[in-house]
Amino acid sequence: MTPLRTTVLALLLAAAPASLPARAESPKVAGGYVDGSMFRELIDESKEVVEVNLDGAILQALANSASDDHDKDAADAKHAKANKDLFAKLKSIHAVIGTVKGPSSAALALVQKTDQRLAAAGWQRIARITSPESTISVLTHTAGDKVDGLVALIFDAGDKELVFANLAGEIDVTQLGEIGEKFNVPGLSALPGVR
Amino acid sequence: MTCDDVRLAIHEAQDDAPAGALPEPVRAHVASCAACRELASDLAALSSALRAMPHAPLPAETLDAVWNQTIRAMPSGFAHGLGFWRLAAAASLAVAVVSTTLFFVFAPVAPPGPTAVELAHASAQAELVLGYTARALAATRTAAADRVLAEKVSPAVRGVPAPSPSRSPR
Repeated sequence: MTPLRTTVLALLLAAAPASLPARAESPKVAGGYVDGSMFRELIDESKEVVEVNLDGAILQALANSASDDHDKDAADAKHAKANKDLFAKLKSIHAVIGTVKGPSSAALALVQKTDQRLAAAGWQRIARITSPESTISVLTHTAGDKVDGLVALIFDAGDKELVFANLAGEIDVTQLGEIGEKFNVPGLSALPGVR
Repeated sequence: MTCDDVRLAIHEAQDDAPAGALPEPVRAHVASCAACRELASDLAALSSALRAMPHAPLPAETLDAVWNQTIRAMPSGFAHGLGFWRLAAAASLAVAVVSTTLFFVFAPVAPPGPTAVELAHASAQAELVLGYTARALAATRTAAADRVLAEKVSPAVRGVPAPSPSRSPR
């Protein structure tokens, strides 16, 4: 092997380990989609874990099923129609929900770092609450004048519960809030601002 | 030579296009037989009148109908032609069957839609995610309102100057 080749190979080998962690920590972003696999690695497998990966086909099926039931009263029908509209426009729903293993500081740092990187990548931070014990961030991605991606990052250091949620597709944030409030979700009762 | 022989010869002569000349014995008979002469005269007039008519192409469906009622309808004598058509029909049928079978075997099958159980599972997951997202939105909204109340409204109500702007939720 020539000295030049040896030098190049040595440089590549030396540079590779340095570049790998940097890529692993950066969220993969495409339009309104954000890869949440780095949060998956933090979750304690021995406890309850919810991983959601719903793509366009199943969302379309959900949208269609939301309008199939005709035996509903007016309020339910309105709610079903709102659900149908929401699902029909969504391209994907990805989420990781679970309890963090190891120290809370690592999860808190990853949540805050992800928030900062998305903001630096052009995502708009529509809300952020931070305290020593917890953090909540909601960021949106826009294409033209429409929101085409939303990320909710929630971490409660008290019970070490982590929520990463990413919705890709056309999103009406107001409608999303109204629909989502009808669903009772467990946990996170200690978060600031939650009543 | 009888009258029947002469009339057959007259018919054969008129079948030619143009009408052929009658053989000498026939002509001699026609010259001496008034009935045969009348037949020869009538057939000559009819043939010339028919040949003078304009030639219009036969419509395709008429040709097919004629074909079906003549050539194809013949029970025998055309065994070679019918065998060809039977062979062609059998080959076409075989090709159609093989093509259909290959299509169903190798054609990409559209994936079946989700089952009711999968749909219910997906619905529950989607509701969970939407619920958490809405909770995050509500939490930040409430916190923002609390901050405004604490930093702006309450001091104003108490007559205290508002503190300098600090970190906002946005």
